[in-house]
Amino acid sequence: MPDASATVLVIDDDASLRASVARLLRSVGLNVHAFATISDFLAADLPDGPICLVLDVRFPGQSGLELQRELAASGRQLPIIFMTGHGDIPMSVQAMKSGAIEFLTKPFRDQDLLDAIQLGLARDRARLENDTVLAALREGFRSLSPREREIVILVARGRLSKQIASEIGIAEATVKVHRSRAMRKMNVRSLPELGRMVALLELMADKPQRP
Amino acid sequence: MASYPPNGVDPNSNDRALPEAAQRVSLREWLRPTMSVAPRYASALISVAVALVLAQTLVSYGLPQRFGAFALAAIAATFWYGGTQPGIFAALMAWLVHGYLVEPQADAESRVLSGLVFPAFALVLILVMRARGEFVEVVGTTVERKPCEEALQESEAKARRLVDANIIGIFIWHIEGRIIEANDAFLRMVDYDREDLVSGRIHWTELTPPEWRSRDERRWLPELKATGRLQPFEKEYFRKDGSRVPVLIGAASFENGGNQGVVFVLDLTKRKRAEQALRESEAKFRDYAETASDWFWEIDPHHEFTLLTENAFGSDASSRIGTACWDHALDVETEPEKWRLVRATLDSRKPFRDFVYCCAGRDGAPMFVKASGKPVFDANGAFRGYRGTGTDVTAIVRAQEEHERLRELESQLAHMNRMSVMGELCALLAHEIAQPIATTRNNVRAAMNFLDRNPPDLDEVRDALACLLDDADRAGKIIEGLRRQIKKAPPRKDQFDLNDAIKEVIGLARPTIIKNGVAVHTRLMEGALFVEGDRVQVQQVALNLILNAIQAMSAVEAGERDLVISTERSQPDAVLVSVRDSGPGIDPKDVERVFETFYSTKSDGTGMGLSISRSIVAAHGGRLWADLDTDRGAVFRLTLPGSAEASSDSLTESGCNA
Repeated sequence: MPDASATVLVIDDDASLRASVARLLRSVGLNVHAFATISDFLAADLPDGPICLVLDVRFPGQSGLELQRELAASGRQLPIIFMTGHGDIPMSVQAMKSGAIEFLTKPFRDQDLLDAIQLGLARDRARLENDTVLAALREGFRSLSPREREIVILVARGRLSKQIASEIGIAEATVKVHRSRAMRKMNVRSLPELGRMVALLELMADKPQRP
Repeated sequence: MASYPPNGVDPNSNDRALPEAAQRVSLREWLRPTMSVAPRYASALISVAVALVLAQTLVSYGLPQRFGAFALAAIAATFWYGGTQPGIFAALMAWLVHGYLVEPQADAESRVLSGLVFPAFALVLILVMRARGEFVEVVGTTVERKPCEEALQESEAKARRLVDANIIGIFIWHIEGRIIEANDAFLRMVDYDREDLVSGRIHWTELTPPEWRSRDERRWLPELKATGRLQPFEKEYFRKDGSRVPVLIGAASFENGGNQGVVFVLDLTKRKRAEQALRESEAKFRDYAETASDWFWEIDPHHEFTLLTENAFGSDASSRIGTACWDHALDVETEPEKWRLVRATLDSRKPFRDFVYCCAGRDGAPMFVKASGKPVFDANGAFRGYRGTGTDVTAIVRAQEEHERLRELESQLAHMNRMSVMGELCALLAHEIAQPIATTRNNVRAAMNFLDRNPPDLDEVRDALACLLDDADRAGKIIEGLRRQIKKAPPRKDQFDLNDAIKEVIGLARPTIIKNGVAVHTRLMEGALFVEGDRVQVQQVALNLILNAIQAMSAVEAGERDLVISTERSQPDAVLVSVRDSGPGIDPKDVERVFETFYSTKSDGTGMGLSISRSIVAAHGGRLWADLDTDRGAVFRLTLPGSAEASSDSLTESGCNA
């Protein structure tokens, strides 16, 4: 299970709890970064690799739930595990609805925390992988010439080479040349795969891009 | 007593004859009315009869007949003591008696002629008296007549001095109303001057106010006519300016049935004024005494009551005479020190003030009395006892007790407040204590994990164990703090009257009720409504519901803030309390959430109140919930298990508008 690149970020204003959680996570071989306040966390650079956030719901100043909302609004989908001193059901419901991994009531079983962290890290790892694939796709798409992009999009929409040729006013053979070159550039082997990639890219294009 | 002045003398002139009697008799005697008419005529008859009997007695002893001499004596005596008319009457009687009883055998002519001597004698007597200028009408028994001119003048001068001395007002009246003569004292009294008098402008009839006139005519004038005198009585006269002067007058006519007489007049203005002042001050003191609850008391040297005003001790003041105050006191045994001090004060004969004690009052009910007193010494300095005042201060003492009780209740509620704050604190503490436990778990698990490593990471294990120690200490401190907070006894199980408890809570909330302009209506079940539990906790719940209701109604218009608090027996063994407000009510979806911890619709609410209230009610075996089925506002209801002895089910309704 240890994943050298995975990091758990612990935010809690209670020093001893923070330290104990950090120690527990270290004892199972996880990298841990601990923060006393949310602003400390926001000021820090996020490490590479999968990340999971463990934080207390109640904070003086800014609550965990608010942080969750802010992160979601900025498009950074961090997996979050909440800890709380009170069994506050409405609050936990809200947290879970907003996409929290788990809502743990103190004192919690360490295994529950570790399980939740594994889930969170797995989710973040998947997200990271997804991000990598998309980045590669985007790179490939960016390397296409304008004509190739035009043809790739039309192919992805299910047009035949003949239709494309008549639509943009070039020879069918030329269309096929452009298409095969574009597929090579994007490292796509079949036409259906090309269509899926383009669909992913278009989906991505609607969303704000993380720098 | 002489009749005075003689007829025919002008009363206005200064040369009126005055009786010598005046020099010896008082004015009052001088004016005492003379004998009435009938006795005088009776005396005439009797004297003639006596003469007859004496004459017949002489004859029966063989002595010569002497009726004529006796009769002449009888006639003279009658003239002297009875007056002219009775004298003439006696002469006529003697004539008849002589003619028909003494000499019945003689012929008619001689009888009449020999009897003529009596009328002739009477005529002579009349002429003699006339010649002396003295017409004796009625003669008093004590009067000595000094017919000499010198004495007459002397007495006249004295009488004149009396009149002119103006010590009292004197006037001479005519029955028709004219005042013939008056002295300056009288004129001053009625503010007239002598010119008015001389010109005949003063009439006693006009001086007399109408209401007195009728009395004069109905009562005094007939009496004056009948007896010739009037006992002094009070009436009023008009002054010249129309104001009234109260007077005491006495009157006598100069002759029986006469048309003139003398009146003396005493000005009563000063006396009336003094009487009025006295009456007012008496009334004032009576009012003081009646309105004041204070009473007066006196005790003798043996400390026994010798005097108590009627209002003393509320009742039965007289039955306490002869007893000491401690005989009735109810707190001698409970407060021996107080009584010891009082006894010491009394024994040392010092004054004391505001000594409050409890004694048996009306029907033996306890009554608080505040007494003050000072010692009394007689002229020789001997101790005579004490005297002072007492007051019923039961109401004040009771009010103070009530005040104390409310204060105590207030402190209890303050404690309750602390309790509710503590409820919040408990939540925080739960949070706090969860922290070290969680930390402990983490550290233990971490230590175990580090030990399981190959090789074990002992540094980490040591760190973890050190932290465990800290966690344990921290938890201990939290527990200690908690223990410090909760020092009060566990919930009590008492029987108490729920109505009473709720009334107290309303009293406590009154400042808030008034401040918010809330009209409170209570519909409490009549009689005591006993429930079992912790009175203070239940009051805390009631207070919480009432304060919530008041706060909820701050959203509505001031005139529409109605708070209805009712109690009823919902089941044979359960009591239902409802607190209904006219506020905006509760959103149906929030009707259960309001009881959740930390849930609050108020910006400054802790979200603990209803949650704690519900747990208190639950701990009493009851239920607390909010109802929606009302026209407006919210109604919170709670049930409590009531004790078996149910009171009557009728409602007492009362309303108060704050």
